[in-house]
Amino acid sequence: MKRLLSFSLGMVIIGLCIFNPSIANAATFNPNRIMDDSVFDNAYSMSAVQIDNFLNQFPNSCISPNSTFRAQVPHGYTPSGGFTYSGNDTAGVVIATAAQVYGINPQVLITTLQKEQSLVTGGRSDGCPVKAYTAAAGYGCPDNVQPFSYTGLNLYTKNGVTVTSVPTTCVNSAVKAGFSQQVIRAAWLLKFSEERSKGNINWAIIKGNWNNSDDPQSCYSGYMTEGTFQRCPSDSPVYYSGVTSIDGSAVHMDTGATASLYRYTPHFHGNQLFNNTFTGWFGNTIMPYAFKSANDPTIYLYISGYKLVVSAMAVLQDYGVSPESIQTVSQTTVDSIPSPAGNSGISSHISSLIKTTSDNDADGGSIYLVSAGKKYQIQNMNQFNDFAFDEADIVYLPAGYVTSLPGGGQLSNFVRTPTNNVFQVSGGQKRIIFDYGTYKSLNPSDNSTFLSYFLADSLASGNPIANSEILVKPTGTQQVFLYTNGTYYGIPTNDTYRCWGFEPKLNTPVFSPAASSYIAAISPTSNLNCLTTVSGTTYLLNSVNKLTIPGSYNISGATTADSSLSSLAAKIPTHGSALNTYVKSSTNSAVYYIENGIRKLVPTYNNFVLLNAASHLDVLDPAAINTIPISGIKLATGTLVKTSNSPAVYAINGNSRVQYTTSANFLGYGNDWPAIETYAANVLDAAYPYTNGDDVQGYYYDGTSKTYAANERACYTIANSELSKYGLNQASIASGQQNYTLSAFPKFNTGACKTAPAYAKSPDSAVVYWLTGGQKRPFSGWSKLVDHAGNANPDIITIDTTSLNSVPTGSTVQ
Amino acid sequence: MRLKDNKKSITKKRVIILVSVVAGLLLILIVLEKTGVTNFVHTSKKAVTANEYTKGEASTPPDSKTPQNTGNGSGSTTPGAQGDGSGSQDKNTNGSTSGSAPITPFGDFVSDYEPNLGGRPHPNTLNSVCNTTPGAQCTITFTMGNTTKSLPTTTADAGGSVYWTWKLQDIGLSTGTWKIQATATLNNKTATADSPLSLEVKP
Repeated sequence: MKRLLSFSLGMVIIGLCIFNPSIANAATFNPNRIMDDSVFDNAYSMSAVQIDNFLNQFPNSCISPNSTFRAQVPHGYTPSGGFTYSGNDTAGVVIATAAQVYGINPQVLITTLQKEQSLVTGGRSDGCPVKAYTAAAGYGCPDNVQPFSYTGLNLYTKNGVTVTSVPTTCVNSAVKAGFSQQVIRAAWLLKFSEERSKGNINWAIIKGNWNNSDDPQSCYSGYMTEGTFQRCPSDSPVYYSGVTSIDGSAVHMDTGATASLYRYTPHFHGNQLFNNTFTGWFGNTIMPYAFKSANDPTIYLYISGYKLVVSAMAVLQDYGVSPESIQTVSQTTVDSIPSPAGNSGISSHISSLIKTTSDNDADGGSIYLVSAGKKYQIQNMNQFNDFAFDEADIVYLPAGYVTSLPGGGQLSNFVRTPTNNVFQVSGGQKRIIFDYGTYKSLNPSDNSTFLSYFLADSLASGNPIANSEILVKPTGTQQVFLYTNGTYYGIPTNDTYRCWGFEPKLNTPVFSPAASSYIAAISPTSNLNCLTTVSGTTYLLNSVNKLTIPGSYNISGATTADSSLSSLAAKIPTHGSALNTYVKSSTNSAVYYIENGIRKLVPTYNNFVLLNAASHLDVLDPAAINTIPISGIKLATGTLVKTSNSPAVYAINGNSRVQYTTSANFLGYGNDWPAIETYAANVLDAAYPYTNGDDVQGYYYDGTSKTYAANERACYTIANSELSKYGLNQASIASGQQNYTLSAFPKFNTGACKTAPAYAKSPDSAVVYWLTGGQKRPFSGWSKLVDHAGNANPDIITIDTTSLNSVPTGSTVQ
Repeated sequence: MRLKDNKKSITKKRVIILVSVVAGLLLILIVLEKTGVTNFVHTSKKAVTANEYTKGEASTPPDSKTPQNTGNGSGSTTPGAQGDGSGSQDKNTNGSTSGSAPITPFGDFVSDYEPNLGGRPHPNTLNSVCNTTPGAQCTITFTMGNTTKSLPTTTADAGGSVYWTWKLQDIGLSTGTWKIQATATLNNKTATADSPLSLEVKP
């Protein structure tokens, strides 16, 4: 019992939904676009039989065949004779005839009959009164006026009885009273208004018994769509904004159908009712629309009464239909919409390439590309081939539908994508044009076609087109490539990018395509290099300029530039002088010395000064500096060094070092202990190796005429002729110092050395000798020395013990 | 004698030529009149609005019968429709309007609500329509502050419509926002309609 109740309740609800379309589908109402013209004009959406079957669905219908309703069939029209009618037939025949005569969708008429008098579903509180048939479409039926009554008419027939009189009706003229009289006039008025709202001043149905030649001679007083049109045949065209006032609100007449429906019923409420009724019974009023059933993934596009399979969602979007707008309908509804008949010439699916079924129609059988909601006429077969279109992809659609698609003009070989990338299409490829200058030079008219993502992606990509050098950064990567003269060059490092001066000097623009697929795969010819050889000269590219590299620097690894890169390098100014041996970065204080193809760090300011680097220094971009490999250190000759693991002290001497073996020597040559620089043994040994025995001697022979004796208190000059007096030998002194020169002792001031005195001592003894007569005579005491020298603080030269001992000892000075 | 004959012959030829020329001109004039290009001897037929009032109503059509009552004065004003009841846009009682007020004007009172005096970008030529009762007098007024400008009052045609094609300068509309009102008068009764949209006249 409970189940039965539920079932019964369910049937009631279903019944309500079926018989009350406003409940079944409270359609979205767009007051500016109540209905598209393609829907409005679909005169063959239902045949007479289909209409009658539809009406028979409603058990209380006032006009269904099941209700025995019949009416005169409209038969013709002349301006002088008005409308004529033939014998009785069903409402389906009357409606279909009226629809097909005037080219209006019979569903619009059915909906109008329901909206005005509820004749389709019946169910009025007063049943199916005569007055409802008399004013079936509400044509010529004003509100709130004193009613009319007519007799002797043929209003309609029911149960075989023709109803001829109506006691009270709003219809203000006898000729308009009656079902068929109303339907045929409503069809005319709706269609006339649609056509004239679009400025079709010459529209008229003249065929067979139908002679509406009075229409083009008439004025139209209804709402206009936007455009420059005439209302009357003798008027000059005037611009209409398409904006009007409905129920106190501004409304734009987006379509002729919308203008017509407002002309027929100038209120929102009536048109909302129309919209809901139509949508609930017949589907969307806005075309094209897409639909599917809940249990079948196939999506169809509704075109001119047919369902065409949507092969890809992207194609659907190209037809201007968003995926969100796909309606899910019952399988019954899907099945009720026919696919194009095989002999119709209409394709069963849609694609982006369309044409009408005839080559002899208004557009001459043109082929169109449908992209982003517009159709673009393909100009010729060369263009067809440029886009690599395939004839097999062309689908054939009804001429009316093709005409109704918004036109974008002729297809251009210059195309734009939604991401604002621009391409030139030729030879089956799209080639991106990044810079505006190149684009304008190729396409001065700026005429281009907007391609959807889908269509853009379906075109193969070639290399970019650029009149000058550009940098290309592929999408999703950090790589940048130089592109010039149709060739890519790799830029392997950021330093390479910097040193070529793309930003500060060349002002080379960097472009990224919106999608990686918008350019062909990049295969660079070669990589750029900061060391580049142009016409036999190797340059160090330095961002703002380039410096010639002397061959003596032995810098290797340069890349020889081809003609494109040579041209580009020529745009970078050449510095006035060749690269110096000392370089530093503009962002760092470190100074380097270039030698044998590498740069060596000058580690201290002391060395910087001793090397006189300041006068041979180039300040470079860090990218340029980094190009030259770094290794080791550069020390000046005379620099005092030690290793971190030994107390031994050395003086740098050219490319090696010599050791100070005694502190006396170290001090004697004018050195200070704090001046010693400490380095890692391996660094020092690698750059300035020490060879055992290469030690600093206490005597330094100047190579000509004198020898210097350095000790911690003073230095003395000994003439060659005097050497023997001190037990010294010029030849042995010279042989001990053959690995260094005086430059190894930058603090040793020979100019301050005194002439060696006659008094000497050894470092190992306190005894002071007077060197005289080839002997050394010891003093018996300090007072004797002072007396003899006549000086309280006499100069005494220190001579090594061996040499001093070699001098014969004489008598003590008393 | 021969000389005299020759003179007569020349005169005769001249008369024939003159008559031919006049006849030709008359023929051309007749053709122009018949085709409506000129209207010297007949009144030009002005296009009438095609709508519920006029379509197929020019003469008695075969399907029409004589109404038994055209406005029976019973006092019954029962609307015909049980649905929306709005009917097609026909507000007349078609012959039963004696003494009635005119239908409240409706329609595109101006073709463009944002015209430019200079004609660019929007043209300064507009079209206005007043739909009311056939035979009613209609005008459209434009008011800004204390200034009111009007289109010439005109009688509605058989379709109940009046059309004006006019320039802003014709009635002296200057830059600014003008309120629009249409007024119909019939039987000394008036019906007015204010447009919710104003006319924004731009330079």
